[in-house]
Amino acid sequence: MQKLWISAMLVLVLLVATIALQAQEDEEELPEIPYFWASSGFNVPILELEGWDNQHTEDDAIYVNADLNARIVVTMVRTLDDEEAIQTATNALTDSPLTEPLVDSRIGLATGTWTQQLFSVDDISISSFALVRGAGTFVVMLLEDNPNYDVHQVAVRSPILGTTDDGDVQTDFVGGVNLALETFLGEDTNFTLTNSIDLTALGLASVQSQYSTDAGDDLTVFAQELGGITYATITNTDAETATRLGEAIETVFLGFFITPNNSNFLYLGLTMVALIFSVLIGSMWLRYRNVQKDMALVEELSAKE
Amino acid sequence: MATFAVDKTKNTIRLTAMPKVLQGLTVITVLGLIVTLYLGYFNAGTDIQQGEIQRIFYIHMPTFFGAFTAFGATVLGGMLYLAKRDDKWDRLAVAGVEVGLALALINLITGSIWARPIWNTWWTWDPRLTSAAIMALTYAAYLMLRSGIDNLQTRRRFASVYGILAFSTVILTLVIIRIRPDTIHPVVIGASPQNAQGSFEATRGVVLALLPSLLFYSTIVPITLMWYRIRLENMLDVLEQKKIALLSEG
Repeated sequence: MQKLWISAMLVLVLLVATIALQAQEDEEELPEIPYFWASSGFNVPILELEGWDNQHTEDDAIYVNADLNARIVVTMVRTLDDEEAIQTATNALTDSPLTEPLVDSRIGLATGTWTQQLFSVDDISISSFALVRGAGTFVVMLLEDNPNYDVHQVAVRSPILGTTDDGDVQTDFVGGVNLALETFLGEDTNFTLTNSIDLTALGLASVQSQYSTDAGDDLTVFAQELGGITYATITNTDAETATRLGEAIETVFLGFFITPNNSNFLYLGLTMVALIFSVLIGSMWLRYRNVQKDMALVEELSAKE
Repeated sequence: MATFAVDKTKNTIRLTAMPKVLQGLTVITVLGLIVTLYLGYFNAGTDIQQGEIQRIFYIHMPTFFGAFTAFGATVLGGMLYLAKRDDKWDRLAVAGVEVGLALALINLITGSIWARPIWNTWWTWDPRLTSAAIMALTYAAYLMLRSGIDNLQTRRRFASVYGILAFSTVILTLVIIRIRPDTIHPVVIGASPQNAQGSFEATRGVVLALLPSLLFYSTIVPITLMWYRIRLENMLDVLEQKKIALLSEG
């Protein structure tokens, strides 16, 4: 009997080892995106774009570009008020108090509904996105403090053109860029497209455009569309700066996700495992005790006979 | 259960002290439980997409293979009983079903608890989930039907045949994710025809937690538990023999 058990165990070990080796062979090599996981539970890609320095702490993702006088900060504020969270996060980074936002809107993304607020305080341009989730509010910010120009990031839902025969929704990317500009400038300011370069690659619609406004400003916009949302980086400087900042903030913002807090389900699972094992072992123990009692009774009766 | 054990003579049982191998296995089982829990819950990193619930996977999948081992023992016991008519093989078969059913239930329940935060539902009639539920119900029916037959020899014959046939549900559960393209159950080992939802990345920490758990739950746990269950069945048979002897004396 013991030899049989040992043989069975050996066969099983060999089976498991063979399956594990097979799994290793079958595993596909996927490109790895380095991620920063904050202790507060959010995740963002680590920026590997040229000029960006990773200065993260345990709680916050911080990317600094000294050439462009720009910072991208992702943090979690312990409040369920999104505006208060933006104020708190910004106060931790600048000495200047925030004024009325240039843009204050909400945008529904795959990660949730974000509050979007843009500010210009002294020479600092601030684009902030806040998402209330769990016990706090996650804030993604782009801060740029070059005195010669401003940079803001705007996200809007692209207008819908219609649906294809397959049921896919078709969106108007150019209309999305115009809507982003309207959102930023306000409905009273008119703008005219002066130049546009299509940078669409790998299925991600991208464009670099110049506009002049009726107020006499020249604006450069770097925009990308993903999932029916147009992300536009609007600046009054050159296209290269707009593109570098736009790519950086969009990499961080689009790659943002929250690790769900589901520990309670894990504890429930472990409790159930303990319960089932307890029932099995307990039932065997009870049956053993009962058999022992019966055995004693039978032996007692047998002795009386 | 430290004072009784195994038979040596065909179709008669005597109770002996607990074998040292079983004592050793018991210690290994307790230690293995602690080590696998440590590897899965402290050493392996948190899955950043699924969160802490992913750790349940270090029990969920290995218990299925534990059930596979136990139900495999039932097939072996059933076949050898039918061939040799030796009662010890029937005891192996029933031990395999009882232990395998407990492990299959752990597999089903932990899977359901994992699915709630990941799939947003406790249960869905996915091919893999359905086949796993059928498997558990089939073996639960084995125990109920077995206890419903009074004649010992008929019960053992019936149980042996049933135990062998019931293993088809285990095979079905094992292979269904590879033949049904509409399953959403993750395929952890090897390639699959579909895009599973809630898949697992086999990082070093995951492998380090999973492989020992897999070996532990698929070998040590079912073997130790089945051994104890066989000893209990031995005792029940001894009791039965003593009752018969007492009645015949009377």
